[in-house]
Amino acid sequence: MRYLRDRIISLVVTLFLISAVTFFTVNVLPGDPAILILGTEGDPERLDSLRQELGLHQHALVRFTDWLRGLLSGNLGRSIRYSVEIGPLIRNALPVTLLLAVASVGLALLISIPIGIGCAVRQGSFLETVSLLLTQLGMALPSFWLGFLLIHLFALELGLLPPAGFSSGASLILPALALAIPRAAVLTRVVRSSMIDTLSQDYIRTARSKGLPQHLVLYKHALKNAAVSIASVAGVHLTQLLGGTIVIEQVFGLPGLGQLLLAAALQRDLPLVQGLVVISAALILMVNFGVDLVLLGLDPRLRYE
Amino acid sequence: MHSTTMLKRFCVISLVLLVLVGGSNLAVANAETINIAVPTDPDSFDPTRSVAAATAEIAFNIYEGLVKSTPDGQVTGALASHWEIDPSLKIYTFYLREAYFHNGSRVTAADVVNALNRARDPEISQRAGNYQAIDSVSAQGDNQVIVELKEPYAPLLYELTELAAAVYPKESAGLANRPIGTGPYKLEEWRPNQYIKLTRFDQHWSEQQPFFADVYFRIMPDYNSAVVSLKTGSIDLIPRLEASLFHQVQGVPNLAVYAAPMNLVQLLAVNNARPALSDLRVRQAIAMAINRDQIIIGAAWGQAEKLYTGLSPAMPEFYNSNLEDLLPYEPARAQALLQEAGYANLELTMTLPSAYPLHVQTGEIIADQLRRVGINVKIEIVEWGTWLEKVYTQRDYDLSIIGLTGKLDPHTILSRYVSTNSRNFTNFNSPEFDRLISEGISVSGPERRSIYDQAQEIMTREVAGVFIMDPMQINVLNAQIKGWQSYPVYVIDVAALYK
Repeated sequence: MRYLRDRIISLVVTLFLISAVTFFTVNVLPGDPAILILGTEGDPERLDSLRQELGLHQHALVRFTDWLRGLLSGNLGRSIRYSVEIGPLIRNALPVTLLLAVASVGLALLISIPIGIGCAVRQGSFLETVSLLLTQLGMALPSFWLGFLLIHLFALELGLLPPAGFSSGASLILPALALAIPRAAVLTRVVRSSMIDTLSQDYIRTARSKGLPQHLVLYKHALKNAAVSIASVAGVHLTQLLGGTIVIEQVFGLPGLGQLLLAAALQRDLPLVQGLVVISAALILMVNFGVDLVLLGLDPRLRYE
Repeated sequence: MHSTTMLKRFCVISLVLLVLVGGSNLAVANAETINIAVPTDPDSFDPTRSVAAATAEIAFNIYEGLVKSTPDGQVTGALASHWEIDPSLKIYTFYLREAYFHNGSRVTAADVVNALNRARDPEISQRAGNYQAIDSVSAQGDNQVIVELKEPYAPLLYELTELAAAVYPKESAGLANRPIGTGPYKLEEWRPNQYIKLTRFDQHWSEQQPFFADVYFRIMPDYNSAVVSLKTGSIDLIPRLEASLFHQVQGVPNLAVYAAPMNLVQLLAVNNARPALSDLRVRQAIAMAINRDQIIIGAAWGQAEKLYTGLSPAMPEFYNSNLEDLLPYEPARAQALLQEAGYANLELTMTLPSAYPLHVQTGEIIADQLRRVGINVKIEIVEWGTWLEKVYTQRDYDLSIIGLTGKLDPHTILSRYVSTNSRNFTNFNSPEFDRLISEGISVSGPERRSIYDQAQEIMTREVAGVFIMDPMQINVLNAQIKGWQSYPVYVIDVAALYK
């Protein structure tokens, strides 16, 4: 209970710090929203009254406390870029990024666990050499470039999947794959090394000498133990993806948080940037917390620390 | 084998889930649906607010003003079936046709008066500056609108074609994302970063209804994926494709490519107020150091027309085509001019907007060309917000590259370079030019043309900026779709398209 309380307090403090830092950083950036709205075609004479309308004439501190007050009453304010409430904007974009992140890490795990175990069991084999070479390649490939390759192969040449846009779940397969491959490469190495570690432990020898079949030894005893390090690395990837799918969303034209954040930042839509940063940060902190709980479940030793 | 089956089951379930979750939103392929790829969301559908060209090309289908533009840059009736101009050239009488708003109510003269009065109110409209020539707007009965001008003002009709002068119901709010216009299409749904869906408006006044019932403008920030989508058929039209992708669509059997001048004036902005650059010889040296052919091949893949003036050849009635030899590409003379002015080793900074690859690449080539005549150019690439503040608003720069969107009337384009204009970001200052521009609005015909010919000559000779090119607008369609019309302004005329 005490653990939970401490975690919640640190979550709130972190969120506050993150929003304060974002607010004041975006504030000192050159280029204000009123100038951006007018562009090269609007009347510069409108600048002052536009600033007034947007509330920019007020001191930054006043605007920040107003924003905080709104946040506490569950109101994220209105977007300058889209002239609509921010809540629904984020609600529409959130599932896309969330699904994409979860699907990518899921795919990465699906690819890396069998290969990693295979490598650990057959050390020095041809399979291991090939796999390690492929993981090297996988880690070196940037996701956006993989994205283009996948679009060309699966959408243009084979015509199996939609190239871009978000019309159905199938739209997420290619971007998820593009994000998953480099991560699968990293995870394969993690699975391999932690399995090698585990397989040399005494209790595995005991299990084997009891006459347990290989798959039970591997998947029940060894994998469960190796899962601690796999889960923590996968957790890190998940949190990275929640805040970092901007490029892939651009390439595939996905209406996720990344695209929204980019549009908001380019247009100096401060309320929207703030809303997005706070929501993403809260999400990341929650995922971290979730990963911690999973680790606690996996490794009883952690509970007493 | 127990755990491998578990694993397989997990695979299958996750894939099924992935497909199902997004499945709710499946786009229905329909013969009467057209999908158009656009790179960004509109800024606002409120005519008093919007300044983005990207909005205007979509809004053309939703809103109408008294008049609208035609593909050849002329003006034709929209809500006004016809109009009369008083011999004093100061009173315009517009006769409204029977037309309806998307909410079903009939368009009255009172709606038009309200919309035009808001359009010219500097407290309300972002573009009020364009309508300051108007003295009053009044209704006569339900079907006549009288616009009285302070002075004769030739650009009036052209400026009434702009989105800023669109007509909407007198009692309307929240137009920014719920526009109510009279155009052939009405807004059905706007999902930011995803699509804008328009549906056919059956009560439109035109005799011929548009072919397509549903129109999706799909937001696709990456042109590469848009091209693949066009090739696989999920997109039917990409307007204004980047020139660097031209070779990917050229000669593809099921695609049709329509290229036309964009009516965009790309210029090397030269800050006339900087000490070294206030010397005419230095500005002329810069102009003569620039090789446009090289730039057009290097930055625009050959897809552009050379410019020597602030107007594009897309406006044949006013474009001065005799300026090519005024300050030709002659690096030796450029060098001599710099010597003469005492700036043999000039150092300048060029500030470029990263949002526009065409301008950045142009800038890089120009910097190299300037170095060859002894001007050392430092390149500084900034993001759009910074560019607008530093270069455009504060005018704190030496050199920059930008594209200015074309309009239908030369005054709207050239008045920017008048010394007192708040948008004169190159700080050009020529009393003679100022005088010509103020004369140009009150005359018409050959007299007007000769005034703008002279004005263009001055801005080129005295280097308001170095005008580089008008890039081609490359519009690519699925070859089954016919009826594409390129406009000299930002317009996607969906109502003209058919299968």
